[in-house]
Amino acid sequence: MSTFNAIGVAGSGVTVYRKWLDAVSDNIANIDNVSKTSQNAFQARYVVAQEAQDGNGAQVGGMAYGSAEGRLTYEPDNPLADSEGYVRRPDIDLGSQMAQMIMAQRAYQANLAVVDRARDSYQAAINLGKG
Amino acid sequence: MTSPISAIGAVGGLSGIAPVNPLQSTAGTEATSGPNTDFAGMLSKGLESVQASQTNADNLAVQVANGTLSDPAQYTMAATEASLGLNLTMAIRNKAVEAFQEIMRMQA
Repeated sequence: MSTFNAIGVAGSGVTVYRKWLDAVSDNIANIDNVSKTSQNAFQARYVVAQEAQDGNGAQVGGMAYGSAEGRLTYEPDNPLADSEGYVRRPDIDLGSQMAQMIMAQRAYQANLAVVDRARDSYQAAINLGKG
Repeated sequence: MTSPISAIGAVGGLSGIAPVNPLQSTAGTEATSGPNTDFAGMLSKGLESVQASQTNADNLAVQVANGTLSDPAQYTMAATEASLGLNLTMAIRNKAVEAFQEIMRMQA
């Protein structure tokens, strides 16, 4: 790609994990959505990561979606409840989302650490020529 | 004449040696100087690459200021890359100037 390839490769990883963080934050933001039983529940978003086309790092290949069926809960007091007292909620586990958030955050930091080390290494190589 | 330095005249015998000529023939250099193998070509190609990364970093800086860039890390990484490219350019330039000055000092 370029002279300082490692920075670009690690940068593609940073972008992938940022999108994962975005997806997790979207899932958590919508975790308490309530819809009528006649409608779809909010579908959790999952990032599909894959190797980049040119072999330089990673990229987001697309999004996968969770169940539209969600789970039915009995809430007769809810204004959206149907005649039997049920509403539809998204089938998202907050614990799983928090775990995914930690994974995405740490991987993001790991890629930035790679950028940092690569910069130090390249700088050391340039300094070698200055002597 | 028995001058102490008359022996230097013997150096004239060396003029018979002519292996230097093949090096000056164009046929010898044509083979090795491809499109980008000469120093000037490589240097200008490298400068273009550095210029491109600077332009990229500048564009991302404008996007950061606008608030249109979704990932600030992209800018910092582009700026890092541009900075490294400039450092490399300066290192090469300093070496070239150093070599030039070394040649200029080479007198008598």
